[in-house]
Order: sequence, then C-alpha cells, then structure tokens
Amino acid sequence: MDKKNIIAIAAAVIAEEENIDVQEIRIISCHALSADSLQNYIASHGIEYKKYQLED
Amino acid sequence: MQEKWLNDIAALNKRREAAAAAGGTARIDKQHAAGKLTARERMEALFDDDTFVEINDMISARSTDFGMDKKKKPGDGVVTGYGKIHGRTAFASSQDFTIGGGSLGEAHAQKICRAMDLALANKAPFISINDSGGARIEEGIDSLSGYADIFYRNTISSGVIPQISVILGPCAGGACYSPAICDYIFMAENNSQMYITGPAVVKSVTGEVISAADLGGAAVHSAVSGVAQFVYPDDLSCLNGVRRLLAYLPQNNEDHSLIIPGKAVDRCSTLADIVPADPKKGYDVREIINSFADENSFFEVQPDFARNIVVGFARLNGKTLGIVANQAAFMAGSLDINASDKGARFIRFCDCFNIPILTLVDVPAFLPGSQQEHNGIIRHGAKMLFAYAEAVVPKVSVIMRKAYGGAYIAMNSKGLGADIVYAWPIAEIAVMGAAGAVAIIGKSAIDATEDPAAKKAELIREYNDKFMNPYVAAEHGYVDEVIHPAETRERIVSAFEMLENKAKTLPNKKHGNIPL
Repeated sequence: MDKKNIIAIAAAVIAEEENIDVQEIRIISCHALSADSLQNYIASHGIEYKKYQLED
Repeated sequence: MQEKWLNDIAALNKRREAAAAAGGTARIDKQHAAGKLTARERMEALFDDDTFVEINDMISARSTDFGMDKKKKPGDGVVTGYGKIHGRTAFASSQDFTIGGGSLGEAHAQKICRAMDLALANKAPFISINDSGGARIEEGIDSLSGYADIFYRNTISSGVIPQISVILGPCAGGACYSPAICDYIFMAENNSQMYITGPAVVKSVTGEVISAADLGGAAVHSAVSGVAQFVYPDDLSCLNGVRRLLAYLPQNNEDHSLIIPGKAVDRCSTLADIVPADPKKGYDVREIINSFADENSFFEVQPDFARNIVVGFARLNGKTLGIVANQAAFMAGSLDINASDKGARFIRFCDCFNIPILTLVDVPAFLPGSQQEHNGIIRHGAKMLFAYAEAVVPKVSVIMRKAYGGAYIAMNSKGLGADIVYAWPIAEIAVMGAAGAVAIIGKSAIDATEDPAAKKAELIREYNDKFMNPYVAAEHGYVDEVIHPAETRERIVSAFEMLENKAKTLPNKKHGNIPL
C-alpha cells in the first residue's frame, strides 16, 4: 500500500467519523504548517519581505 | 490489519503535531513578540520554498535527573534537516528557544551532530542557527560533551564545506566556540548576543556593570571584536544575507562557485578621476571595485571592522572572485593588527574554496607605534604573508598607488606567489616614501651642506624620479605590466581567464603552522 492510498483511507475514515464530505478534507504537512506560520507572521506584522534569489 | 494501519498513522500524526507545536502557542507568541521567528519559520526562510525536510523531529532527552522526564519535548529544542538553497543541497540546525530556552543537552547535540555528519558526508554547506540559553544544567557533563562533539565536527569540516553560524538570540559561554570555528558569523541587530561570560557574572567577578548589548551585541562584534562578519536588522534579513553569501560559494572544497551572469561594468576610464595622484589624499576603494565588478555584485565582508582593509566577494563575467583592497580613506590604508587578521582569514577562506583572489594595493606601511608592537603586529602581520604565500588559487594584484616596504610584500607581491602583478603609472613601489628614505640615506649629505632644506628637496626629487614609480619593479620582473587604469577590468578578466586551469600543490605536510 503506498503513501497516497494510506492517506486516502485515513481521510475517508475521518470523513465518516466527522460526518463531512471527504472532498472538504485538506491534508496539511507539518512542513506546510511552518511555511504558513512564517507567511502569517510576515503578513500580520506588515513586513516587506522577498526571499533572496540568484537573479537578485 | 486495516484498523492497525489507521491507528498507527493517527499516532504518527499526533506525534508530528506535538513536534510541530514546539514549546506551545504562548511561547511562540512570546518569541514573535520579541521580534524573533520560531526555529521552523527560520528554516522556511533560509531554504528555497517547499524544499526543507526535517529529520529527527522526535528525538527527545533521555535524562531523567531533576525532573527532565516530565519536561522533555520532542525535538529536544532544536530543528535539524536539509533542503535546497539556490537549488543546491544544504544542511542546517535551528535551535528552538520555545523549548527549554533552546538549551543544549545530549539529545539536542546528537541531532546537530547527525546533521553535521550528513553535511560533511554529502559535501554540502552547513548552517547553524543559534538561539539558546546555553548548556542544559540538568544534564551536566553530557551537555558539555555535546558541545565538544559539535566543536570537533566544526573543526574537521573546516575547509571542506562552508560553515555559517547565524546568531538570532543568545549565544553564551562555551556555545560561542562553534560559531567561532565556523567560516562566517551573521548577527541580527535586534536580538543577537554573544559572550563567553554574561553581564551578571562579569559584575559579580569584576564589578563592571555592562549591558548584554554593550558586552556582546551585534554592533560590538561587527565593529570592535571582529568576531562577526555580517550584521542585519532582523531574522528575515539575516537569513536572506546567508542566502546571498551562499550564492558566491561552492558546495565544498572540490567544487567551484556558481557562474551567475550579470551586467558587465567597465567604468575604468573614470579611475584616474577617482584616485588622486597625490598619495597623501584618500578615496574610497569600493568605488574602484564597483567600476569593474559586475553590476551590484560586490558583497563586502566585515565592513565595520578594520576599515583600513576592504575584503569581499564580487563577480567578473559571472564568476566569483575574492577581493582584498587597502582602503586609503581610512588610516591611509595602512596594515595594522586587525586588518592583518581580517585579510588573512579572508584569503585563507578563498583558498579553501577555490575562489580566485584579486588584490588592490595602495598601502604605505604597517602601522607604527608601541600599541601595535606590544600587541603583536609582528605575528599578526605575518598572517597576511603566510596566507598569501600558502594560497594556491589564482592570485592577481593591481598596484594602484603606494606600495612601500614590508606592507608591499604582504599585499600579494610577486615574491609571495602572485601569478600576475599589474601596476598603474602613478604606482610607487619602494622601500619607503621619499621623505623617509632621504632622511636616512641622505642624512650625511644634508648635514654637510650649507642649505639643508634645499639639499633635502633636491634629494627627494632625485629619489622620486628614480624610485617612486612602477618601472624599476617592472624592469626587475616584480611587475608584469604597467597598465593604464582604463585597461584594469580588461586585464583582470584576461588574467583570471588565463589562470582558470592553474594547478599548484604545496609540499606534503599535515598543515602549516601559521602564526596565531
């Protein structure tokens, strides 16, 4: 069973238990949580920020 | 079986959430309120978007002394992992102040060492983000041993992979030695402090009352102690600075820097207007650098310390080179203890990582005086000579104006192994300036005459005509070509292109014994 199938089964079970449409379930990784946290911090503090890239 | 899968995955997700929660919302809010990012947010800012992969997120402390078994958290106060920076792999550790004040214990150190071992094995840069209250006292000698394990790895990796330390909070006591061994230290103005002994102990032992910032803040270490090379206002700009630095560096000592095409600049026709012919008048050597380096490519290292020497990275036709230049605008560009340390360290870094070195020379002397002599200008100045002589990367010099005495030798002279030496027509390459020389070698003639002032002036004119030019050095082979300043970029580019395949080795030895 690959990673996608495992996650799909888990999502299906959660949807059934929570009585919600499985299409509404979003899979968020801890990595994504950190990225969102950084973006939220930047937005909430009104910081002008652009990650330095090679073309800079 | 299906149910066990689901239960185990649910347990895994729960553990992951616990690790990601760090020290909890309240502590994260406090971190943010102090103008600091969390450990994972810093990793997201450091690495290319969506490339950071955390490893060992569940390692936790094994100690049970002093209630540690109840206090332990997954991750043990540090986030470690790898990702891409400008598309190239790098490894990093980021201390988490929200867990136990980021204190370092056995497991915390183990995580950092794992990441360092991976960096070395995969020949990729290692970046350590420091934000820690120091050794975890509950773990006693295991904490100290953890630091030792890290310092050992910093040392073994030195010269093999670039190592960068970013101080984004407190870094006190023995913890300072890891950054000290790294190649570059970044500090943030709003929250960084480094000191071996903090203000409280300083007061109790010596009676001196001093704030943390005045003792070891970013301004102190960038301008006074020379410990830090880069200072930025805050976490985000600091981490962007790290990204900018890494764009100039190779992955390891067997690699070469990225070629990043930029706009070629050649304003060398203006150099004769920028540099006064009068050797006593100053100018900013960074204007010289910016007249031939690719547009906006000059990245100065340690700009606020030892301002009488300028060092930094630049690009020529997209290729990285290191620049060492006397700064005539400050202390007439003389070499002193601090300038020698700054220059030597930069030269050796370039040599470690295959970065060619361009030296711009306008130096009157090593700074005289008892303060310099008593503090060891002899052994510190010797570092410059040692560094240049030992460096096997392509080395090109341009003698712009003054090049006197031992300082001339120290600034990548032909005898120290410079591959190509250019000189401008106004260059003065001599043992010393005319006035000083005549005072010594013309003393008898001046004393014997009825008009000493006139005799002195006559001898100075003679000395100037004979020695204060680049042609004697050119005739003797110490200068390869006397060039028009307008030809500077063209000649430098040509020289480094010619030297691209330079292959030079040193006699077989464990390592030299550079004066320290």
